Amino acid sequence: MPGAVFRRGDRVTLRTVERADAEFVQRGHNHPAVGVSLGLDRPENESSAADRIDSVEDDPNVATFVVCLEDGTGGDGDSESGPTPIGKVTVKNLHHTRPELSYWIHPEYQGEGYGTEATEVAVDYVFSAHEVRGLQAQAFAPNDGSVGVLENLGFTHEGTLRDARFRDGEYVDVVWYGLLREEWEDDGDDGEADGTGGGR
Amino acid sequence: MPGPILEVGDEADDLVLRTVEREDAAFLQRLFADPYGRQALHETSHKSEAEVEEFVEEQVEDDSNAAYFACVDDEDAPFDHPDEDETEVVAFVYASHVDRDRPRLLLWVPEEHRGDGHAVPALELTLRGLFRTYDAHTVGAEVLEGESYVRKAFEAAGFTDEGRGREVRFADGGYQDAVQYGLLREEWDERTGGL
Repeated sequence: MPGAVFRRGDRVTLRTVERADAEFVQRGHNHPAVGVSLGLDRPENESSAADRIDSVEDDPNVATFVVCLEDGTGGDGDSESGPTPIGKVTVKNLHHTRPELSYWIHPEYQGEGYGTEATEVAVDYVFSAHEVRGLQAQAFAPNDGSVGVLENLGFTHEGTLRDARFRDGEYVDVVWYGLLREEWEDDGDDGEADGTGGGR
Repeated sequence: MPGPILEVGDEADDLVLRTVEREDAAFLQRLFADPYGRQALHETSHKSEAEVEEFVEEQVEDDSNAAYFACVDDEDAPFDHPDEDETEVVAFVYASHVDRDRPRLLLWVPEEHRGDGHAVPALELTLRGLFRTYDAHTVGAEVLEGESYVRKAFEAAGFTDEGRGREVRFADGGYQDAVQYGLLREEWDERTGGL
């Protein structure tokens, strides 16, 4: 069960990651449509998912969130069960000039724009809370969903590393995207911290 | 001093690759004093000799990384452990995670040897060693805009400019773009005739 709400978008919230979320995180990481896209190449059991959550708690250079729908059902239709976790957003290397952003949405909830919305809220948070120069993100070139999030948010395609990773039975290109602070701030009112993403 | 010979260059180059030893930490400390050189290791500050010894023990000696000194040997330099006056280190080349994905290369030339023409042969000799030893499909490098001698060396060794991260790092008083270079094994084979 995710923790407190940290930031709100129109439809999604970013909540703190609790140890009890290990089961949800593990379910995402082991799903082929998520894990393969993230470059995870082996199974993750619940205890190692919990260990990862623990290790991030102690790392001041990482901010990580569970993306939730506030439908009060906990994802199982039970009206008393609280928020429904649908994905995860992580910012790492917050001490770098351009920290790195990563995200996934559980396949059941993909195609609704939740990834773009959650990532937008996270980008707003990073630029407002941290004195970073910009942000960056990488994706496997065939991963249209992930690349689409970056393009929706106005990231610039900065490079394509040819055949850089082996994934899903073949070598694939890795695309790099970057966003500088002024590009985010100049991007109009829809970049404000309320996280409304309608204009993008 | 550097250890045994790993690769021998063409006679024209007069270069050999030798191992990096723990006692070389004092020399390698200069890499971490170079505001550009250390960036390729994602380090932003200088290091004490003890910290560099730790780098040698934990990174250089890790089987997933490969470190090389390109040296110009004296005529009488032995194969194994040359004395100080028998060899001269002219470049340091370091490949990280040679066991997976795309190994990443670092090239550093001590300032007094820049312009001597050793950078490209040192890089090529390392590539020959890497592609012979590990089954990497591609190799890559990230080089800051301001480090032009290194960019030129990667370009001369056949790497392709695959993109540019804008203002990715702060070094030498300003935000610096980082150029991404990549080289595929098949491109290397084509270039060298598979040698």
